[in-house]
Amino acid sequence: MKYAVEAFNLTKAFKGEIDNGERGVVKAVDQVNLKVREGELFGLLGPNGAGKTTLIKILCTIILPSEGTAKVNGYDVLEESEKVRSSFGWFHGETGGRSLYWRLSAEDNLRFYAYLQNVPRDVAEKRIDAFLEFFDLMKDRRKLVKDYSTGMKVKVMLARALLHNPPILFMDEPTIGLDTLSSVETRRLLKTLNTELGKTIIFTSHNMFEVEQLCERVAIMRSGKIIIDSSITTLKDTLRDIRAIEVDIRDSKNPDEIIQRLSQMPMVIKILEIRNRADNLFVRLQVEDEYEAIPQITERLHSFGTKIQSIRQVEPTFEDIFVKLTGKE
Amino acid sequence: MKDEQIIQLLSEKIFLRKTSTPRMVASFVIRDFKVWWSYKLWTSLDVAGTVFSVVTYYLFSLITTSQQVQEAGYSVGGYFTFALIGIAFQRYVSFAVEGINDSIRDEQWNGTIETILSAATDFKTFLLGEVCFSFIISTAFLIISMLVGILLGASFNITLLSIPSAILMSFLLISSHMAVGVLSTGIIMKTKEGNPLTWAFSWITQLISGVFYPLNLLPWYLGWLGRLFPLTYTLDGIRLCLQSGQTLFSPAVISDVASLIIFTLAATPIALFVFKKGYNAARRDGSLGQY
Repeated sequence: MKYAVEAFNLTKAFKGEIDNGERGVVKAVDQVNLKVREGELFGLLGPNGAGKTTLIKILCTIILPSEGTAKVNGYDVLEESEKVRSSFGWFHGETGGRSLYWRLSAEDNLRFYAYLQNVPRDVAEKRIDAFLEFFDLMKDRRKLVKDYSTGMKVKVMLARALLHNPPILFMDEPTIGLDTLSSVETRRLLKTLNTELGKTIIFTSHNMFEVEQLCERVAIMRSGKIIIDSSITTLKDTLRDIRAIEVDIRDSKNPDEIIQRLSQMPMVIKILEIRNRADNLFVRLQVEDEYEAIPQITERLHSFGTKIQSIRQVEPTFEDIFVKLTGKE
Repeated sequence: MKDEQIIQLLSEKIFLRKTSTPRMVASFVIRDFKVWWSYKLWTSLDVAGTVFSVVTYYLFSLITTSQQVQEAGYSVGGYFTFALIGIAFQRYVSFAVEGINDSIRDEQWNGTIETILSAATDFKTFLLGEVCFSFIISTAFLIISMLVGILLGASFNITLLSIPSAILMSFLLISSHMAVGVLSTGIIMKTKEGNPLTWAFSWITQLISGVFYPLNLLPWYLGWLGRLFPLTYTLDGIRLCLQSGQTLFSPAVISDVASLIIFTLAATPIALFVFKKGYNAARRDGSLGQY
């Protein structure tokens, strides 16, 4: 089996501020081992600060690892960085359009990048036209990027990542800043590029449902480590299994008693999170059936005079999935 | 339907050939020109600043005599021509030393550096591309300065060979000072602090490299110190060519050329080494895109 991306004990440690405000070594990527098959649409999930972008930057040769190494398209990121750089297209959504030349037009941005990526002039012109058409930017093609909306900038960045038709695409939060319709179109295009042209796509996001719609396999990162690497089917089953609700309670004079009463209710499986600040209590619970649980919890809390500010069904967090899949707290 | 068009386009087999270095550098120049031209007020002020600076030294020359300039070996043109060459080429040096630094800082500031360095461009082409427009624009300003100077009465003693000799000296000026620019950029990539090296280079050379006055006016130790800087040899060589009609075959000019070649050969590998170190240090720190 051929792999498009392989990481071997990849670690990146930075000197920086640690939890208690003191300076120390922070491991942004910690002993990551990963294999992504050629032609796979792979999702990399995790909350902000989990290490997804650092991992992608190492694979893009922008950051050197502290330990371990990686291969992209069969080339070592440390030894063969120029060959690695010919192999991928990179979209980095974190920049919010900053990675474009704002004083150039969209087509000038794309043309410049096409030359950097060795795309012949006639091919570049055809592709630039096609992508501008696809992203509905044709009429604004000569406008300076500084006058574009965030969504338009994101579209130019997407076109730039695809322009040289690389076998591997690193899509770091590609739908960030896009409206719903454009997000759907972008996801559809990526899926088509994967199925029709066999592109390997590494798709990072902090939105589980986006990854669920698109990817075949998913890894979840937390504190620099890959804590879960599973098929999308397993993730979908887990998401279905975890039904969570959140309750905000005002003037909670006796939070311990409230929590005890909640945990004694039959449909409550587990108290997932408790935060208590200035008589305001926040509780997140895992329940058997959220639609039955919401009225029953409301009634129960009202019965002993508790003031509920809000109660709602919520998506499970990465922590919830981790606990569910591994059984570890 | 739209997806199908993209798929069809990307399915076409094309032969990817490495873009030639001149074509690649030209694309950097076109990019930089368009960005520069979009700042129209700044461009106008740049031109106006160049003209004002020449006019200032013209007025200053009206209250000075030419005696000391002639005693220093520059026979024609007096103080105004002497100062004109000094300020025009000193500005040229500033571009050489600070151009690369400013270009890379702009890439960091704009958030574009990571994208460019993740593209399939080799490192030396990237560096060359980043500095090229600075040199073109500084050459244009050099020509503007000289033309304004000629309009105000600057006079030269030139022969058929002295102009190509001065042009060669200008190339040596660029190559020797580019090394300083590359070296300081390498340091800044790691330290992310100010620009002490280029700052010192600009101000110290103004003081002791004979930009505004002949070196024989300086105390012997400052004159000796000035001999450590390549600008001193360049200004001397260019003035000998343009004010005294000497050429590359004159012993004094040959000596200046030899000094510049030695400096360039010694400094360039060191500068590239330091730059590569600074670049890799920034990649280790994850700070390539920070400024």
